[in-house]
Amino acid sequence: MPWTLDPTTSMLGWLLAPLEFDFMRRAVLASVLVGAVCAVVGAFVVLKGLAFIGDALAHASFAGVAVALVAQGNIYLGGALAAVFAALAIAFVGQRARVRADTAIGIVFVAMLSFGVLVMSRLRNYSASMFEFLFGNVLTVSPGDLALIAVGGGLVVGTIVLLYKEFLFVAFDPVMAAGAGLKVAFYDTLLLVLLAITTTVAMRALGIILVAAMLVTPAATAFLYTRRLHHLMLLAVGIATGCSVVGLYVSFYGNFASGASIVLVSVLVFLISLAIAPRARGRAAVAALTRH
Amino acid sequence: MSTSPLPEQQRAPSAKPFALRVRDLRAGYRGVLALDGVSFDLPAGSLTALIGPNGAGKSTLFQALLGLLPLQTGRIEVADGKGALRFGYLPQSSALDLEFPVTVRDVVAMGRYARLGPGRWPTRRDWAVVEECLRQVGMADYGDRPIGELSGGQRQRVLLARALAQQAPILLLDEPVSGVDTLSQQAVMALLASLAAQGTTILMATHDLAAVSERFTHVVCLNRRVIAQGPPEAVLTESVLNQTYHSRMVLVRVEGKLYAVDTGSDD
Repeated sequence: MPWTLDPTTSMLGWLLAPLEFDFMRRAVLASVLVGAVCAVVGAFVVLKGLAFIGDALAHASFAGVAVALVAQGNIYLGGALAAVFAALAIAFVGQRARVRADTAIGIVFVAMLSFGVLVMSRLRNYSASMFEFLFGNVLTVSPGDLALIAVGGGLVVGTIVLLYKEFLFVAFDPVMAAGAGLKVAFYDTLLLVLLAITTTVAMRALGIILVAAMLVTPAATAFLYTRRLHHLMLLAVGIATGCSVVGLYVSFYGNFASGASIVLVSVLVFLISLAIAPRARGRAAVAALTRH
Repeated sequence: MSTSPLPEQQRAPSAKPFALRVRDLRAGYRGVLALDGVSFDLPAGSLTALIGPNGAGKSTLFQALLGLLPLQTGRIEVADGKGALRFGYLPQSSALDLEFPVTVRDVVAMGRYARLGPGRWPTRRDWAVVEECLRQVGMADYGDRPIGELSGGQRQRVLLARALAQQAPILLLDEPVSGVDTLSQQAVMALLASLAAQGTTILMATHDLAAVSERFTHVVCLNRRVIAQGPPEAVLTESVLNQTYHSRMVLVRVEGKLYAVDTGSDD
């Protein structure tokens, strides 16, 4: 049922009202964390054209989630294991490819997603929980979920900050990075593993289908305004957290699904930015988004 | 103009100490032996041109020296330094993403990264090296520019600055002046000559035979193996060049500059 307000309520009251609820406070915190982590990793997703791989890893994680549900294990651990396995498989294929990489990725993720659906279809309440995992429901985040999101997200962002200059060098100029003695294959693989963990961290808030949107949209928006990678990352974090909060309020007052609201707000911000950005920069952003 | 043929075997090494010594190097891609028993020496502080036709294995040789390609046989001995830090490297015009959000200064700083190691940020000293290298290539005023806003020649000079920022005892430059205008080429060659005079050993792949005779202290002629090596005045003969390029060139010397005139290829 939609939340209604007394028309005399002040703007501040309008903003604070949802925060009276524990579940909303957790939801805001969870979506802000998830948005920030997605934005940081998303910088590389946009620059290296990894959107399809990010999408694939999220779908692949579902195999682990389903097994964890049936075996009554931890769904985050299950999802992360499956996604990391898929990431390593993709890195392996990418580094010694005999088939086109995107073909191999497509087959791996469809196989793992189907396996997950197969396993889950034996459960009761199958369709209701499917919907939650596919599209997310940040309003049901428990304190335990929140802690896992913080730990997983902290691990991802911490690794990227610690190895920032290596990731930058390898992403910008892998030939020269290898020549300078950097282990390019190691950093490429590590980035995919971090991407895999990110999709699992974002699973509750966004669902495995909508994760890719948050990996791409805030970073692509920030790309329109910035000329240095760390500026891009910081601005993307700002955009992602802002859109997450606004999206949640839209979801709260409009009684919409939370993940979809957050994604649509960030897409709206991207489209407005695209309209006002210099034309050349906009073309480059669109090219980056459509590059696999 | 010299027409006397040079013996094909290795020239006797000079008395100078060697910065790099390569012996019997065999390496290649997918079963094709791009380098078939390559041996040569780079005297310390020499400015050496690596010449040879496309497909002669020049880039492959750089890859092998950098350890990016497994050797089938052979030895690489380096006097100073260890691992990848022994070599500063400028790849042949790589396909850089010009929309990538990095400034000129960021790109040159990458030359410091391997030296710093993971988890450590460039210090004030590293940034000072970056500024100095930008100054050396004449790009000091461009530090804040996005890399994509530069012309091809300016970009090439920035990539050279990045190789210089590695501060390695040996510089490997894969056609660094291709796409650079003549005036910049002169400036780059003067810079390399002064670096060599200060003790840096430089191996540079090039197609510019006139520049080789004028500017370089040594030449290595490569076509899957070393055809000849030594000072340009001794090595650059019609016989050696025609063996190297499988060509029928005639050498013409005009006012001290050497020009090769092609009279038709024999393959």
